[in-house]
Amino acid sequence: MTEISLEHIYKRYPGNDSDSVIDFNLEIADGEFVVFVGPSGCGKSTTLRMIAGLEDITKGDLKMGGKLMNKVHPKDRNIAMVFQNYALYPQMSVFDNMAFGLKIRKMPKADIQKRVNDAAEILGLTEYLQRKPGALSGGQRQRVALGRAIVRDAQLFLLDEPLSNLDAKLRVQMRTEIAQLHQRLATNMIYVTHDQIEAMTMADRIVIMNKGRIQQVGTPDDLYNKPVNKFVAGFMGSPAMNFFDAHLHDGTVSNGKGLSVKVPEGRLKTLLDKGYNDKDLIVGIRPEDIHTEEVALEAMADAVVQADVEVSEFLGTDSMLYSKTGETEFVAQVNARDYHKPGEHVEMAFEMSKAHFFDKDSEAVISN
Amino acid sequence: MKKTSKLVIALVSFLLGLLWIFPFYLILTNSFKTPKGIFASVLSLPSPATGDNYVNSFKALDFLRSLGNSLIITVVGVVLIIVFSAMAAYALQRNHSKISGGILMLFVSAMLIPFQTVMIPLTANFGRVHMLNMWGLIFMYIGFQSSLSIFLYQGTIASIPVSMDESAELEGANRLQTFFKIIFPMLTPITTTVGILNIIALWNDYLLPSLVLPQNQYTIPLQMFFFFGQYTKQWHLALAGLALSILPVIIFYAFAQRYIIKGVTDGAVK
Repeated sequence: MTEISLEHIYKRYPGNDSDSVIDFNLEIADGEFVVFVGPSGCGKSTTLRMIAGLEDITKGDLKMGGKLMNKVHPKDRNIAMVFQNYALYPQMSVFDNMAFGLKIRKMPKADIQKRVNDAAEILGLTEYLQRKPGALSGGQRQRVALGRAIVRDAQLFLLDEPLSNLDAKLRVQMRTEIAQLHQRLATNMIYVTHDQIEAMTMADRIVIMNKGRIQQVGTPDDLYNKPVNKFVAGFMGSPAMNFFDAHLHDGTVSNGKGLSVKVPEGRLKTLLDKGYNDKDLIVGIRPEDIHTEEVALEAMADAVVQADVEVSEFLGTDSMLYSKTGETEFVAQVNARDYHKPGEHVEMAFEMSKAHFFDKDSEAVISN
Repeated sequence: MKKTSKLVIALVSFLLGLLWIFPFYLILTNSFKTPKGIFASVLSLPSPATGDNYVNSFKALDFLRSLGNSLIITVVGVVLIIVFSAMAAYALQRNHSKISGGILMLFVSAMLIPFQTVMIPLTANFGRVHMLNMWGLIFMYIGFQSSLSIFLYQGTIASIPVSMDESAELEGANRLQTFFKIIFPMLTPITTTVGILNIIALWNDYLLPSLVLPQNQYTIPLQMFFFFGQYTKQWHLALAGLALSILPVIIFYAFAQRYIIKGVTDGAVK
């Protein structure tokens, strides 16, 4: 049973004049799968490495099961880590790679044998145990790296972008395998990625970071549907949310560049209550909340724009329409049956009840 | 066109090969001749051929002892050079401080100092602490040879991701275990290169041993001058001795050929 808590964690590298991780606070429940996500350089890997003990914590407390861990040596933290490049030892066989940590800890040979065999069984590596990592495919190497973590029976798994070296198909497959593994082992896992899809699909909770700070912590659903600021809204989701710098006047948001749509009653009330009448704000709308079907156009008649399709991508079930109304560019994700060729003039309805509104200066959410 | 150029290359290679092998031909044929036979015709094949030169030379040179001396100095020296410079390079490479950068620069720039400028004070100082013997010599070799070796090692270590070390550390390995179980085995190609370069340097060295070693610890290259007096040169014995001295190198090469070629080419492209 291990709860992990990070309290006001800061990291500043020697010689830098600013912090790489700023006031990081997080409680991780036992058995939870937490994903740190964010653009490169946001401090997610640094935070992970501080938890592992590979980086010193400049300020703040790291606790595991209530015990302060700041000064505990990495090897005594009972942590297993999977590295982005797997860090397999090329001169050792798969078996020896997985057994290395156990041998170092002087575990009896029979126990080592059993643990490695069990892990190999789980990961489908049994027939590769005598091979060297060089003779394995990318996916198999990834599994060995996971196996090395499993045999250790650690209280916490740290995974640092473990799938980024795999091809797209394998990545999807390994994503599921890691999720299954987590269910099976029921250990805490902290997973670092810059890929929001990985974060969305695997996490119990996502911690989204930018410029060293936590932006939001929540379930994938929270982050997607109730982003606390423009950064979170823009980072989660692919293609990204459309943003417009607009002005609210007379119940209508318009950006003066060809976009002008009415805000539905309920949403408008919140905006007015918060004093945004006749003020600038940022409107965000997800591509899937822009529609071209007849029904939608009729239902949202006061939020229809005249758009020209510039690029269209056919994706099988959906198609992406990169469009322009006046000088305003946006993307709409519509049903593939509503495919439109580039150059076509299309009427599109903005489902403003699902729009997100952000403050122009602070970029914090006004209303989701 | 292609065919003729190939032919020219083959011909030139063949001639170069002949040129290369010619000294060996001279040593080998003349080592079987009597002194008279040598002066009669240097180039001709030995007639009558005699193996006596080898027996006499072997005895006169105390060949087994000088072979033993050479082996001890080379093997102990090279092993220590490899271990120390690999460890030093690892420490210097992984430790990103100004001091380690400075130390590395010091090692690299030490390669530029000609040996001849330090040899007299060095032997004088070693004499003062009674280390003018083969152990003192090995000690000096570690100093002289580690610059290049550390330089070669640290380049390769830089290409090994730090996550290897970190992974081992998380698994519970200490610094020494990480180095000897994880990093050092990954350095095998460059270790071969470093090993060969040092074996060649130490085995063939003449000047430093001639300054340092007492007569009973003479290595093969030193012992070879036994037959060259100020007034007499016993070519027949000297050549037999030379042929003997080449023998261990040829045996070594036959066994290590695969690694030597790999080591040398690895070193070339890295």
